[in-house]
Formats: sequence, structure tokens, C-alpha cells
Amino acid sequence: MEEKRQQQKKERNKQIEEFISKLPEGRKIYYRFGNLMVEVSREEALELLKKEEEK
Amino acid sequence: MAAKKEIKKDDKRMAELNRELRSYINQIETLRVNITNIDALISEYRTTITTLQNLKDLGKGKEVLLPVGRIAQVSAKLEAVEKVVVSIGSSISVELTFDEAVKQIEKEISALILLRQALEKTMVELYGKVEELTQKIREHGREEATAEEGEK
Repeated sequence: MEEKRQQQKKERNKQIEEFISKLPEGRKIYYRFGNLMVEVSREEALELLKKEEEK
Repeated sequence: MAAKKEIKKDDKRMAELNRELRSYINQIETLRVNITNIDALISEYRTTITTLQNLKDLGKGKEVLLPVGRIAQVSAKLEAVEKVVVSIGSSISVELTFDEAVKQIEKEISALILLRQALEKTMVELYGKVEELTQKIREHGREEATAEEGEK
């Protein structure tokens, strides 16, 4: 069950990664830290996504 | 003695069937809760699209109330709704144009509808199994009653 959840999370994150990569230049990206939405660069977003996947 | 053993074995079988039945019923309940949650989400997403559309139609400069927690609101002036920040999952939100945002939310709604259909299909299958099992339990009970009658 946990393995399946991890697999689904990986697939979902891959879709998000593709979505971010295809975004036109200049589009703002935000990452939610608790109640705070912080503007991040594309690279930072991808890095945070990778970290989130490892959790 | 042999007949008693046979009945004991039957009791075990009956308990097994009942356990299986309870498990199916629990799974149906879980699916029902999930479907209710999905329905709520679909409804919320549809309201979001309507709200975005209304805000766009009202146009720049309109006064709106911003919720601050559940109990208070402060007024703010509406900017043009040309850019919308949409959550795409995993704590990430992106700035999209109005049309892209609506399309993205519609895509999420379609995915939820597909998921709902899959859960509904599973639920129908489980109902079938429950029906089948109930029949088995009924037959088993009847057989046990006949055996007991024979013993008397």
C-alpha cells in the first residue's frame, strides 16, 4: 500500500516537473511553506520537488 | 462426535464468511466516503471557475472583501484578473493566464470525474460480492438448520 502511494507520488511529481519545465519564461512560481507562499525560481521549485519526493 | 466436529467446522466456515462480508462492507463504506470527498472537491473547483469568471467580468477596481481567518474580512481593490495563481500539487503553485487557469482546473475536474467513475465501478463490484456472499451465508445457515433437524 505504502509502495503504491510512493509510486503515485513519484508519477504526480514527474507531471508537476514537466508542467513547470513547459511554463513560459517570466511566469511566477510559488512554494507553500505552512501558510506562507514563497516565490521561487524554476530551479528552486524543481529542487524542492525533489526534496519533497525524498521525504 | 463426528457430527459435532462437522458442525464445529461449519461454524468456522460461517465465521469466515461473515468476516469476509464485513470486510467488503467496510471497503464499500471507505469508497463511499472517498466518493463524497471527490464530489465536494469537484463542486469546489466548479465554484472556483465561476468565481474567477465573475471576478474577471466585474473588472479592475472593484472593491472586494478579503477573508482574514474565518471571522474577519478586510476590503481590497481588485486588479485585472489576467493572471491567476493555481496550485498544481506538492506545495507548488504557478502563475497562469486566466484561460490557462480555467483549463487547468477543468483538467483537474476531468481527472476527478475519471477517478470517481473508477471508484464507483469498484463499489458496484463489491456490492455484487456482498450479494453473492449473503446468498452463501443464507444457504449455509439453511444447511446447518437442516443438519440440526436431522440430528434431533
